Amino acid sequence: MPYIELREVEKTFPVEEGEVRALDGVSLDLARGEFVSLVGPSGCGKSTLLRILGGLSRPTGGRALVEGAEVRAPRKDVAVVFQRPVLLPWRRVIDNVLLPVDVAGEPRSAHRERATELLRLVGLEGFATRYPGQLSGGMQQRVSICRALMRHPAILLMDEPFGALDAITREEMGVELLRIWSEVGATVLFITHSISEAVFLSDRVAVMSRRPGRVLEVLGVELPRPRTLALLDTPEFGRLAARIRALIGSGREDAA
Amino acid sequence: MPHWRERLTSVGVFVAIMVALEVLLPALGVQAYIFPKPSAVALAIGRDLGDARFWGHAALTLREILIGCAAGSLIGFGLGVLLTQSAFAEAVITPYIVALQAVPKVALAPLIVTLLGYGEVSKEAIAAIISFFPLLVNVMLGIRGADEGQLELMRSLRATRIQILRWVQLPAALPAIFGGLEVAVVFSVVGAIVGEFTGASGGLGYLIEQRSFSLNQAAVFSTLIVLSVIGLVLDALVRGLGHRVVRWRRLGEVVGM
Repeated sequence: MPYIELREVEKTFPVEEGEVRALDGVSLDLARGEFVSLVGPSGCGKSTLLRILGGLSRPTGGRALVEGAEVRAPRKDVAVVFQRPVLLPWRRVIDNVLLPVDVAGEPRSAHRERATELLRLVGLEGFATRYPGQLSGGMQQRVSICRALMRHPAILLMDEPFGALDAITREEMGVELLRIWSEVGATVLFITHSISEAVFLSDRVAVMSRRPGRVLEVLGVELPRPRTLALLDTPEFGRLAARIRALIGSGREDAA
Repeated sequence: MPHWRERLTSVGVFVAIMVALEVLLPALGVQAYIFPKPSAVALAIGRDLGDARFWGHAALTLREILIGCAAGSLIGFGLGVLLTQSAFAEAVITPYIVALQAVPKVALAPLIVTLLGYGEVSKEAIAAIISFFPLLVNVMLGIRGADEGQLELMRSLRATRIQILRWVQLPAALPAIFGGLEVAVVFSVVGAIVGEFTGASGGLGYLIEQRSFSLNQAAVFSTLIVLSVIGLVLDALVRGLGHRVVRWRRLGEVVGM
């Protein structure tokens, strides 16, 4: 039984003029501990799929399963990192990281050390008592990643977390994410529209078509870990990226 | 922050106007009971501030304002929170609120004084009714205006409704709540005074009426000035409290807010 299973997932949204078919029978499995990226053109339903897996949206067809159990609501063992950092501006950084602890009804004192350690992991230990408004976008996103890791999630869902960052910061954040991932371990579903980011980070890359979204192909990334930025310039990397680009390109043409 | 030069000029203007009035009013033959000289007003202020009975009136009006505003604000706040949590309650109650909002509250003063008497309770009731609406409307606006992303974050953390209210919606609504409180406080002053005008046996509004009838204009001005100071201080206090509570707002922009 696959750890995470998306089985012919469909999602249709009602809109003024009728309805929009966002997902058209998406099937994808994730094994425990895998890092899988979902890449595809804008509007192909990647975020919708992630939200369904996160229990924030219900599929109109098909099923989303974790360990064989259908996802009907947000799960305790699943953490989501959204596109925007979504920090609570009236809470200090450390208290933002501790938010999941508050919601779980547990005392902050018991978890403060871990929160501080997570901030240290992302290089923000000196900013614990600052307010979010005093941090840059990239720093805020790092805080939101710490927040997601607070409850030791078995599954990490990340929705274009580096989308708002410039290219250089993105690459650095990617390396940092892999480092954190290797330390905490989790099954990751990572959404991005950057082909190179998907290949760089993942064990496998699922390529989606344009709307209505479905999985065109899933590519295995056989590059060695730990991944370094130098890999970006290797032929193998280029081959994978080219294949993905071609798939997305043809997906675009089919729909045209 | 205004520079000392601008400040000095403001003060200078004030002094110039006072001197001008001091000289021109008697020169133009304006009667004291129509418009008193600044020096007469100053004397009246001095007399009043040294008079324990005056302080008694001031304390009464202040009590009416504070108790009325507090009561009305609390009820408005409470009802506002409730209405955001229940669509049914909101649908049922909103028509009444809209209807009551249309009534100028000060026009209710005679009715309330008749119902509740000449004592301070009627003034507190008027102030409460006046304070109710700004808080009700603002707390609802503040809660409704909460960021969708934050609400979804809380959902992803499996937060209960109370938790979402406590940690996201109410903190997000604080700026609006304090805005409403500022309005409520200022309007409560009006409400208390109008109540006293309608029927009272004490208070600064009562004094204004009495002194007006006895043509003691300087004393009327004195009372007005003290009343204004009270209003200014209350407003500054609420604003100051609001700034302290919402300190994080001045610390920069949060991405995506």
